[in-house]
Formats: sequence, structure tokens, C-alpha cells
Amino acid sequence: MKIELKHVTKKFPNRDRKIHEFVVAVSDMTVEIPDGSLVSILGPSGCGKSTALNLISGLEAPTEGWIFFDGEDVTDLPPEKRGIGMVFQSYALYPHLTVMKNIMFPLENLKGDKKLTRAEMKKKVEEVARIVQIDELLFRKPKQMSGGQQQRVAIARALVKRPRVLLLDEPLSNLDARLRIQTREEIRRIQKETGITTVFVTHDQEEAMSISDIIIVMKQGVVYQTGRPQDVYDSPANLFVAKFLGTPPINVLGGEVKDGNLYVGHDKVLPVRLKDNADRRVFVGIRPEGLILAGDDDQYVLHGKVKSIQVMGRDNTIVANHHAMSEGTDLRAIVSASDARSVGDSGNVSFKLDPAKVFLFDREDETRVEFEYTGSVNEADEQSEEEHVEE
Amino acid sequence: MLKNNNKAWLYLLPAIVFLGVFMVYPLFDVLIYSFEEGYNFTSQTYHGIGFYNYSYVLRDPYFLQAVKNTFILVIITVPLSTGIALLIALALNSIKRLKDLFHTVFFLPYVTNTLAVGLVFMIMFKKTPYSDGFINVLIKAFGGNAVDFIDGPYWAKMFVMCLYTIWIVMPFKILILTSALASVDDTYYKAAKIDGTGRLRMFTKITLPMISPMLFYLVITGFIGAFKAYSDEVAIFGTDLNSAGMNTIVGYVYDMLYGNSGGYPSYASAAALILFVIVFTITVINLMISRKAVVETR
Ligand SMILES: Nc1ncnc2c1ncn2[C@@H]1O[C@H](COP(=O)(O)OP(=O)(O)OP(=O)(O)O)[C@@H](O)[C@H]1O
Ligand SMILES: [Mg+2]
Repeated sequence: MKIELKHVTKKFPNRDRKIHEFVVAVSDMTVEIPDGSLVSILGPSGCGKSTALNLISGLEAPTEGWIFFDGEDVTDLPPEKRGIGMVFQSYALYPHLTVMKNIMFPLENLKGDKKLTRAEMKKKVEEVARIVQIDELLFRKPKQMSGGQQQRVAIARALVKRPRVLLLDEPLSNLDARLRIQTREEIRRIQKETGITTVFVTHDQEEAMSISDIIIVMKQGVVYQTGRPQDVYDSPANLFVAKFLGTPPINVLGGEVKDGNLYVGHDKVLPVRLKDNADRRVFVGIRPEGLILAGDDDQYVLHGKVKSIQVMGRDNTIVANHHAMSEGTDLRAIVSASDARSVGDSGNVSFKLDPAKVFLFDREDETRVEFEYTGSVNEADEQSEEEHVEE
Repeated sequence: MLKNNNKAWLYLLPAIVFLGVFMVYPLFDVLIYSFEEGYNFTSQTYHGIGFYNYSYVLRDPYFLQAVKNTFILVIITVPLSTGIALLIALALNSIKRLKDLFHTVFFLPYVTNTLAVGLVFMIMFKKTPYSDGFINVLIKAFGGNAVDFIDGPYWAKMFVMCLYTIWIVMPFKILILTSALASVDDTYYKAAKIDGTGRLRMFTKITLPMISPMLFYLVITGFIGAFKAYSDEVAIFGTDLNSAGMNTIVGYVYDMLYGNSGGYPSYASAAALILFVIVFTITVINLMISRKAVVETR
């Protein structure tokens, strides 16, 4: 089912009653969640993710704006009439009921001609238990199960009524690292298998990137960017989104576009041209994988001083200092293990930049500043062109 | 390991000594007293060992009256006070803004002296040659006949007694239950709401099981407390409870020791042990039921 939010705003009275200003948890949110997709709402703590989800579920009513399910206005519809299933961070499994009874709970609420017999209920429970693979555990109490199993029970309970929408609020944050990865793949599988439109809330960008069709990046109640994970990663709309996505995070340095070149501190790092051809000061964002070890004859390089090398198996991270970086932040470059070995644990290092992995942002409003790479794409050509420029 | 153990005992020592001197020793003493026949208070002698004290107490009409009073009090006040407290706590829990204020208001009787509250009750219910008392004025206003609740018929006195007991235990129960209700995680209700659970079902299937440990705690302590009632009776009916017909078991024990007809520690001990057996039995039954009914919420 297609979900649309149109100019949705949610204000809360401040929890501290002495402050009369409202807390704007969600501000003018307009998004479209396509039928059958898995969409993640991603953002740091307190940015309004849960509120956005609660607005979709109907647990909270918007202060302004409208919500549509398949074109039908559901803004004033109570949660139980919206046909949704929800999984909470704490799972909210009833501790005194068995798994079977927990999953059956929503079915027992059905009234009138929708009312089911015990046998029908049992059949439905067993069906959904099979989908989430907990059919062995139906007679346990929640306490007698692992976090991951409890998680599945919660999903089963949310799915048992065959809702049109599945909402998950940070469903993995109570699991350990390994189980998180396993369970998120499980959620993806269940979503694909059932084809149910799913909204997934998380503050973990890796989680969101790995399982979503679309991610919605939020900060302080405002949607900063919406798009396919790879697109958002490859083309962040602003500095916040660029910083929020990717591990290790993007390197951000102060820089300047001057005379057709991008400078970072004293280093001339890239030949570029801005749309307006003007010179300006910018923030330069460089993805760690966009820093490539430079050869001796490279003209455009970023110089650094190696602090350490972090071994992560296949790839290694070079942690380095750059004079244009603020105190306490380091330059991080992901390189292959063999390249890392050639650098050594200390001393100087120089990188050339992959222009596709470099983003420029306005110094004031931190929005993206588009640039055109004026060097040649081909390595060899690049050399000759640079020489040409030098002349 | 052993050293650790010794240390633990050392820490426990003050508590053990204290409990030993003031709880365990008196308990044994009472047990011994209750079997000493013909004990003389002044000479501290007795002529035999046996069950005479028990048979005397069990045949004493004052004791039987006290047992009857106590049981009526227990059976009426424990369920009523717990039930009403739960209703009030539920109401309080739904009006979040007023919660703090109500907490104080309902807690007032708890921090107020029993005798002071008893005095107020007496003034409200008593009928004197000069005034009918507040409650009787109300009864008359609605066309009823004045009743003397303090010196009048048994049911009237019992009514005041139960009302007073409920009133006095209510604040504590409300306090416990409001915090029990508040401690139920809100997401259970959210989940239930999304699943279309009705209000009644939410209460019986979620709220009640979740607060059942506290509920049973209140019932058990309520039973024990009501069985030990005494000072409340004195506050309303004065010290001569036997002639008022409003004595309780603990009151009987006290009277046997220090009352006008007192000076019989053996009878008092026998009565006290009978009370002990009653309370113990009821508590064991309570615990057995609660083990079945109370759900593990964690
Ligand atoms: N019921 C409420 N009353 C007042 N303020 C609220 C209420 N619910 C949320 N807020 C505020 O709205 C903002 C967004 O909250 P929300 O719970 O949606 O954030 P979140 O992104 O889910 O955060 P987290 O990752 O920590 O769960 C926060 O500043 C929060 O304090
Ligand atoms: Mg949240």
C-alpha cells in the first residue's frame, strides 16, 4: 500500500511545563512510500523518527498536514482501523502470555463478522510463526527466549492480522552486533516474502542502507534527503547527509575553489570548475575510499602525516593528520592491505582524490555545491593535461 | 570463600542480635507462658503445664466476640479497600496532570495520626444529647432516622469501624497501586491499541496481570494488618472495647495484660498464639493462591 505524508507537522507541548514553546518533533514532512517497498527513516536520536512512525500508525495525530493510505485520507483514522502492524524497540511482548497467546492477541480482538474460531486463530498463528521461523517455540514465555527470538515473535504478532503496512521502530537495537545483521536480513526476507509495505526506523545508517529500497534521512524533524541508499550515498544533498552516511565517516575539511582548482589548506587537490565560475570558500567532503595513495609524479595531492594504520582484514584504514583539519579530527582513508603496508606506520603520505567521491558544500547553509571535474578521467591523460596546465 | 562467609555473618550480626532479642526470644516466651497454668503475676509462679489457658480463652465470650469482630473487619475491609484503591489509582493514573496533587491529598490520612483521624470520625458519627453529629444531620436531611453510630446498635458500630479501617488503609494502597500502574510500560498499551484491543480487555489482560504482584502484596499485608487491628478501635470506641462489644483479638490480648480485668499473661499469650496460627494459616493460603495467580512480569 502506498503511504503519503503531505506537509505533516507534529508539535508537542514541552515536557518541562515551565517552557511554553512547543517542541517541533516533525516539521513539514512530505514523503511518499511506494507500495510493497521497505523504507527506512534514518536519523540521529531525537530527530523525530519515532514520531513520524507514530503519525503513520495513528498513535499520534498530526498538528498539521495529511496522511494518505492508497490515496485514502487516514489522518483522523484511529490506529486499529488503519490496518497496520507495529514492532516496538522493546518488543512489548506480554510477559505473562505464551508466544502462541501473544501472537493470537490481535486476532482475539476481532469482533462481529470478522470474529474467528479458536481453530482458525491457531491456524493463522502457526502460519505466521512458520514465516518468521518460530514454530518450535509457540509454548514458551517471552522470558525463556533470546532477544532475536523475541524479535521474531513481535514481528509475527504484527503480521498475524495480515496488515497492509508493517511499522518497525528501532527493532534491532536491543540485539548484539552479530544478531543484528542476521535479524535485519531476516526482516528483509520476511518483507520480500510477504510483499508488505514496511517502514523501518533506525539511527544506524549501515542498517538502513543494507536493507532499504528507499531511505529518508531526517534531522531535527526535517527531512534532509530521500532516495535509494546508493543514490543518497553517492550524491548527498547536504553536509549532514554526507556525514551521516558511511563508515568510516566522510572526511570534512575546509577548502577553497580558486583559479579553477580546489585547495585544501596549502594543497592543490583537484582541478574543478563551479557552475558560476566564481571562486569561493567551501567545505570539502572526501569519502575514505576516495583517497587513493598517490604516485611520485601526481600533481594534485593531499599531504598527510600518518598517525596509525587500522587493520580490518581485507581493507585497512590509514589514519592521518592534515594541517587543514580541525583539532581532534583525523583523515581516514580506506586502502587495500598491501597498499597500507607500503605506507608504513608513520611518516608522510600523499593521496590523490577520486572526483566522484569528493563533494563540496556551502560554508553557510551546508548545501551541496555542484562542481565539474576539469581534469581528465583517464590516468595517463590526466598527467599530460596537468603538465599542459603547468605550462 | 570461608572468610567471605564469616564476613557476611559479621555484617548480619547486628540484625540477628536485634531480631533475636526483640522478636525470637519474646515469641518463645509467649509460647511458654501460654502453657503455664494458673500463673501468678506478682509471685511469678504457676502450678502446672497444659492446655487450660487455651480452653479458657476459647470459651471466653469476650474472646469469641473479638474473633467475630476481627473476621468481619478482615472480610469486609480487605477486598473493599483494595478494590476502591485500585479504582482511585486507575482514575489518578488517567489524569496525569493532577497526579501529583492527588498523591498528596490521598496520602494525608497516612501521615496523620490514627487517633486524630479516629477522633474526627467519632465527632462525625457520634450522637450526643446536644448534637446528632454530622452524619446524622445528613441522614435526617434525606428523611432517615438518626442512629447512634458510636454507642448504638452493633451493625452501626461495625459500619463505622469498617469505614474507618478502609479510610485509614486507603492512602497506602493508592500510593502503591498508582506507582504499580505507572510502572507498566506504555508500549504494551500502544501495542494493544494498534491491535484494536478494547479498554476492558486491556485492563483484564494487560493491566491486571502486570500489577498482580503488587495487588497480592496489598491483599496479604491487608489481611495481616486487619487481623492485628486494635488502635483504630480504641480511637473510636475508647479503651473499654469489651463492653462496647467492639473488641478485636489484639484488643483482647491487651486487655488480658493491662486492662481493668488484666493481669493474665497466660491467657493473653494463648490468645496471641491463636491469632498467630490464624494469621499464619491465612497467609500461607494467600501465598499458595498468589503463586498460581501472580504472573511473572519481568
Ligand atoms: N510525547 C512527547 N511530548 C513532548 N515531546 C516529545 C514527545 N514525544 C517526543 N517528543 C520530542 O520530540 C522529539 C522527537 O522525538 P522522537 O521520539 O520522535 O525522536 P526519535 O528520532 O525517535 O529519537 P530516538 O532515536 O531517541 O528514539 C524529541 O525532541 C522528543 O523530546
Ligand atoms: Mg525513537
